[in-house]
Amino acid sequence: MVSFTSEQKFIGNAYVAVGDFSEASGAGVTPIGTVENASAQIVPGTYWVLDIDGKPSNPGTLGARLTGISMDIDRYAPALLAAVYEGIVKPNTSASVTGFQTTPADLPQVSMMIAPASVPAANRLTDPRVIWIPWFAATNDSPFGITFNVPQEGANSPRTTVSFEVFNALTDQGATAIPEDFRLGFFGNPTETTANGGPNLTAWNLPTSVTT
Amino acid sequence: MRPAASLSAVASACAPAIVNVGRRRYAVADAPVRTVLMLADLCDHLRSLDADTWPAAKRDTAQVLRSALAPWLPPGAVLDAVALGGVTLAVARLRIATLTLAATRQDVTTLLEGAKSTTLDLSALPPVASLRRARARFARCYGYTPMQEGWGAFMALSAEIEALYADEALQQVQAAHPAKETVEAWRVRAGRLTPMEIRDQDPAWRAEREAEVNRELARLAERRAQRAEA
Repeated sequence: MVSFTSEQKFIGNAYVAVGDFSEASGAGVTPIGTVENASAQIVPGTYWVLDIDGKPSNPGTLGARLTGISMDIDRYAPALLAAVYEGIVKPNTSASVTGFQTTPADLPQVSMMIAPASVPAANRLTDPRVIWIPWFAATNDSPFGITFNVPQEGANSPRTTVSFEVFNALTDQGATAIPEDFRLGFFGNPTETTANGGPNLTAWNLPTSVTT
Repeated sequence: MRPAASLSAVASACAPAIVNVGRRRYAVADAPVRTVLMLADLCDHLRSLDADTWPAAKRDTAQVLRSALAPWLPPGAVLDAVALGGVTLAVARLRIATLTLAATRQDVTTLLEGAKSTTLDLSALPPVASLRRARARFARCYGYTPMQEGWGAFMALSAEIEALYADEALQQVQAAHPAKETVEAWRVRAGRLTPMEIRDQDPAWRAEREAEVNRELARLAERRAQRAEA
């Protein structure tokens, strides 16, 4: 179990799932599928970690900040991401954007798993190379909105590049407290106990559609 | 001594779907690599010729050169390269060896550019020692002398390839990134299509993916409805 340290990490091809990992039997998880060119930017130095309303969420929390994750998703995945936020976000009417925006207060907590393509499906919950983000939102041109830019190649492109902002999650969606070192994200098994240096999110699991 | 007619067989033999070179595998769409293989075979073939058999072999040699070079050289350059009329066997050997190096340079340059941007596993590249051996072999086998036509270009290319390998900055980039992509994966991506784009062109995959996404969308809608009722 490794909490984030400062680095630029290129992940490449990966398998991504989002949702609520604390729900039983993986019922809260939506598989996004295979993505390409996934990368994570973890900025070195110390930062105040902010909540979505821009205030320091925990005055004692200082550390490296995972500022951005980006990846190319296939033509069907934007609908899945939008559905996860449906009812909370509203469509962006700009002709150049096919996605959604929201106000900070409306932003729900959604978690993300990024498993490098080299990780076998059966090991996605436990493999130390898998990245877990307790709270993310897609963001391109609004601070906390979710927007998907039409790719340069045109609207019929098979891919959409989407970037994500990571937030400081004090708890998971099941209201289980997340240890300070793991609130922005972490590598490895989320169910690893605190005694073993893990985030102790023992309820977290994946549906069989993601592990087979 | 092999008959000149076997040159056309060389050309066709160099166009399987996947070409294996040692532990490396190349897709046939990879023009520079295919060119290198084809020219290397041609070089070997020319070693079996002599001044007496060379005139009869010129036409087939030009044909192999044309098919090897067409994917990556402008038409004018291909015509220059395959114009073997009045060219002695020694000059032809040197010209083809130089072309082989030029193709190798393009291949290595492309690979290294990819390595810088995608943390490609450099261990997949042929070691620089093998390039040095290849240069020595060319010089030894074909009897090059510094007085011959094209010698300067040959040596310059050879040095350029070695310099590419000695790129310390590149090595540092590699060392800093534990995540490495296979040559095969990178080549697919550096080519015209990525795996995602290849899948996207498959109607069966698209239908299956669309059905899968629709099932998940329906499941999410059902969960929202249940939550609203509760």
